[in-house]
Amino acid sequence: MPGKIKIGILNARNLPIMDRSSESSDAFVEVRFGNENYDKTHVYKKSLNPEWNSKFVFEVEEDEIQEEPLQIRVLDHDTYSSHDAIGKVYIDLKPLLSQNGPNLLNGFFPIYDTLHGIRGEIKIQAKIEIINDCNEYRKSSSGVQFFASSKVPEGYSLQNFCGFVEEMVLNDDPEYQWIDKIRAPRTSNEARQKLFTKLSGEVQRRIGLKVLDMDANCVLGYQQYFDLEGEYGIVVRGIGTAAFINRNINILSNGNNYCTSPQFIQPSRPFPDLNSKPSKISPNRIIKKNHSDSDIISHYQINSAQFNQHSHHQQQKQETQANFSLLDKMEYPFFTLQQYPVGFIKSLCGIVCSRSVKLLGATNDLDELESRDKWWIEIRNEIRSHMKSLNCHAVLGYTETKSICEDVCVLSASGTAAIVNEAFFANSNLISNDSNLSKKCSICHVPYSDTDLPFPIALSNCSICGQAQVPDIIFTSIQPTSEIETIGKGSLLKAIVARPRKKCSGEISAKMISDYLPFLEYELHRQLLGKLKLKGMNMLYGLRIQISIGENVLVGIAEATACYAAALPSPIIPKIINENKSKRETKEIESLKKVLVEEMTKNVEFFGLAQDLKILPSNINSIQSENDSNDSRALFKIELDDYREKENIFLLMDSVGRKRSNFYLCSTEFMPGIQFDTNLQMFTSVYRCEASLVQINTKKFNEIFDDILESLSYKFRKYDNCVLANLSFDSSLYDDDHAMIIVTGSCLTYNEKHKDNKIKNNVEVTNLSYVPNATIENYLGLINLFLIRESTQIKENGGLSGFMHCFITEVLAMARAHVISLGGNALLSFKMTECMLLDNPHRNQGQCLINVSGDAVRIVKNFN
Amino acid sequence: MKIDILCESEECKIEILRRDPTSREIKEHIVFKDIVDNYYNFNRLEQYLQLPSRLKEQLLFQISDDIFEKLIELYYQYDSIVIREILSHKLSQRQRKDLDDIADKTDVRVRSCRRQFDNLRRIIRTLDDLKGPLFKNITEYFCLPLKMAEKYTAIIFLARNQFDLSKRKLSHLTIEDFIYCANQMIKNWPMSFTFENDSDFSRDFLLSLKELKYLSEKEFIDDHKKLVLNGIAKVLSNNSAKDSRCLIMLEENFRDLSRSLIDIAYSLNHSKDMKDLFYDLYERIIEPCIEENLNKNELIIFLEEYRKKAHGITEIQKESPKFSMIFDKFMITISNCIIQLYH
Repeated sequence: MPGKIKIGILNARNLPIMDRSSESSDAFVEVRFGNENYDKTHVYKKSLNPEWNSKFVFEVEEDEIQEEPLQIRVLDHDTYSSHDAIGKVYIDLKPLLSQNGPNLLNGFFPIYDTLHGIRGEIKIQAKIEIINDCNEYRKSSSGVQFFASSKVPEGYSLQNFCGFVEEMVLNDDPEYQWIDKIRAPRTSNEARQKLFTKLSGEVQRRIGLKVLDMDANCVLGYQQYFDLEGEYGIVVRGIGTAAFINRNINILSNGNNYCTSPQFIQPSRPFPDLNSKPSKISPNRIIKKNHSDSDIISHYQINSAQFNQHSHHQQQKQETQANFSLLDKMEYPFFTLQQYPVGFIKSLCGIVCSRSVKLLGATNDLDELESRDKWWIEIRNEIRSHMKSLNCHAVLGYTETKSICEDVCVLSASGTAAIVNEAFFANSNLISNDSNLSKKCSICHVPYSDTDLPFPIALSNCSICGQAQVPDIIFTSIQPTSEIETIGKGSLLKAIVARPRKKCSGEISAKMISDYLPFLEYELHRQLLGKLKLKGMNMLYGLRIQISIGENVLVGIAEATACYAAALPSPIIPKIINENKSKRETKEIESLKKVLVEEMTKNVEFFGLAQDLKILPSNINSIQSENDSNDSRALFKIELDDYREKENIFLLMDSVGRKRSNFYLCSTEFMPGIQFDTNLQMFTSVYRCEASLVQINTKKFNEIFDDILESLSYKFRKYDNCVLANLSFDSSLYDDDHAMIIVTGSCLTYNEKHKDNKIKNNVEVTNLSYVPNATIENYLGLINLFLIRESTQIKENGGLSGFMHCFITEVLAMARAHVISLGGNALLSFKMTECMLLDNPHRNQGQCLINVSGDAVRIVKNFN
Repeated sequence: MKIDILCESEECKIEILRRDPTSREIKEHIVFKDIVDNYYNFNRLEQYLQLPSRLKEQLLFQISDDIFEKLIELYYQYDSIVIREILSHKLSQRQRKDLDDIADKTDVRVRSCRRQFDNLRRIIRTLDDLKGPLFKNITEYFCLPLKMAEKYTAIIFLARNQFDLSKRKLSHLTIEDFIYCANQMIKNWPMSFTFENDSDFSRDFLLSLKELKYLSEKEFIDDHKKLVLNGIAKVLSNNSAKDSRCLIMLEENFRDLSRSLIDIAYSLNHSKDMKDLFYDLYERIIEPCIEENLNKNELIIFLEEYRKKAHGITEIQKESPKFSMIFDKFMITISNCIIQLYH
């Protein structure tokens, strides 16, 4: 449907000097939208703070607004030669389409140039007038809200979960090898920025269509990835969880112009559609989604119809029946969220994970996109079958990642298998009266009986209720939930494995990687388990395993927050086994044992795990020897037959986390056992090293990480009680022998003496999905920026680290400008999904490519 | 201005380790990296510090109000000796080369000298395009703390009027002395506030100083002398030997001193002579008094009596009704300056 965009180009400030002689600029602005709409302002002569006050109106299609960014280009007028570009601004107008988002975009945007960075700011206003399209065959999907936050947004109540959505777009990369090409890098980089922005819009539009088909109105936990496949092009992937949410009306809305809440008393757009023409849930669309079974379709329709006709009370009984099958028959019962409403999770089983190594460009017979689609379908099917074998019917905290090296790529998917409350698939109003909630342990109980184990596993009676059985440890990929009782504080747990590999290419390389992968994963798991035991803990939250492949090295990094769940049995100290005991070795073992016990005691003390955890090595030894034969899997043992193993034992102890008192680390948004007071700051630290360093051994690599953590601790030395939360480590390996490690996280304080309830910053940027002691008033839209920065003067600007430092600061500045223009004051769930640094030291050149995303919101501080 | 970050950081690291013993437990390279990071931040920040009103608008850094104030204050902080040297040399682009000399002389780093010089020059250039009182513009565009803004106003006033501070005889006077004098003049003497040059004195005021000529005319100077000496004798009252020596000295020098003061008032009218104001004050008033061992207190009494008693000469009042007003305006300020410089 047609719509109108009204754009105002008001003024600019701090423009760079483009004309040396007059020390000023003659600036004018080009405004472009899509291919057809173009206009420009007059030239404002001789000023670094020009004022145009020009207004433009473009007539556009709705789906265009979803895909195309508004392009603003500031130029310096030159009478004789061609005009010099000052910089560009890309503005995503999608937030204006959302019903309870802002209706006006207004603010100063940094003018960005790929070569010179930020050069002044320009004040832009934009407004959209649109007639909504209700046609079944429409191309646009406006009105579907996207949330990067992996939870049900604050201020909304969940009506029901509708399912997993994914979409993928493939395109040629305009110029991926910039350094060797003839075309000026600046032009090609601008082309890339534009294309990538557009592609991400297209992915969202398409996902939106699927969401509308599912009768949902939003996507939660939206994750978007750019796979730069080099000469094979670029793939933009998006995954998320479709859901229907309602805005709570009684939320303290200050009645600002953004809020259109009255409309939300009635379910909005998709539903009126449905009521009037129920048959219009066109079968073909659903068939496309469920290749299998036509029964589902009827179920699906009935459900939706019921929802609209019956009152909640009547529904309850009927629905639970119907919905069980609904969840069961949902093609992929995967949820990308990491935090769930209370009562949603019934039982947590463990991590399910699937990987596959693929060769790019090997599929000539098939459509490129189709073949990639197939790859992911294979993986998802595998995850589903894993989930089923665990007796579960849902996967929570689901993610999909891809690591590419030349023409080989590793696709990974992982999540936490769980049993969930089916009631959430129909109507959310019945959550609170679930009787099971009082128990703080039911989630930990295994969903299968001890006679019917999916694989050998040690079960014991629940330490809290003593009635059901629990495993000895639980690994999960979700955020800590209040429904599981924990003792003491949590701790960051990381495992790193680096394996050298032979340099080769094509099929041989792919084969080699897939041969290595299981060993890599085994080693990661071994480390995680060992460290967990030594910490005296028994549960992992937010486990993230990342595999990256380089030309001659394979790296796996896992990070998680470990904690002690009260329901699970206390961990037992690892046992050291040695077959051929000589006297000297026995002695050595004794001393090692002592070290282990000491380490564990220290951990127990530091993290306040306390009381009921007994570390009695002699006792344990005897127990172990009894158990050894029959139930060995419950124990963690270290076989000591060579020196390397001994070194491994020391690797398991990381003392970095205990360096400072009242200074904790965790990889999740919440820290078990600590209530945060203020959000101090988000940080991003980029570390680059020679890949040969990584190759040497895992130990060296570990040291690098510990170093990074230590320097972070030094940076926050001023603060007494602080936690580095949501830490995540990303590593990427480049073919030119470099490894890059990016550490992001947030620094938060707790137990503050003087609570300061002011919003200190004009825009709070955080990678958390919340701000401690603040309430989210309104979600204003998804911010998704794709930027490239290049430089031909790397050395002059402090080398690569100076270059990166500068670029990241600029990216944040631009993200903040977008948030402000939407009327927001915080950017939540900020994520740097892509960060790729290339350099050519001989030519003094460098280039970096960054994609960031997050939710723009308006927050208010709580005053109690 | 480019800084060799790595080299600077190394120096800085040593300094930090020296000052803060607790940081010695931290690995050195971690401290080093932290410093380097801060230098990068500063590199980005500096362009905004140069025009602080922009610092509040920028989005690169989230700066709270107290940090903002601190940053500005530190960036615009100056060393008295450096500014003194900069003002002694003429403030021009060419002078950047002379900064090395200044650095040598003052024992302040060249970079710091350059910052102080650039700050000053930038403030002057920015204010050149603006109308209105200097002080108001400085606080508005540079967001300086009030005390600092006041000092900068004086420094800029001195620089713009090109007062010659480079004479050897003035070399023992500090920049604070001159700042005090400049502020006295800015506060008490009417300024012109025209667009072209808002640090000029009002033309009317300067012309009116011509009225003071009566006081140097023969017929009045003796009357004035008598009145003043009597007045001083009354104030000093206890006839110690020291006091009588003071009276004798003033009696001998009264004519010269009085003429000098009136000449100085006259000279303000000619911009070329005005540049030498401080030199004239020193050479013609302060130096003779110092030579005669007049102490500060006695000088204060003299200047006070000199001003007051001029009102007593009724003939001048008849000739020029505005005389008293103009004379007071001139004398109060110039007395304050003389007293400040008297050491």
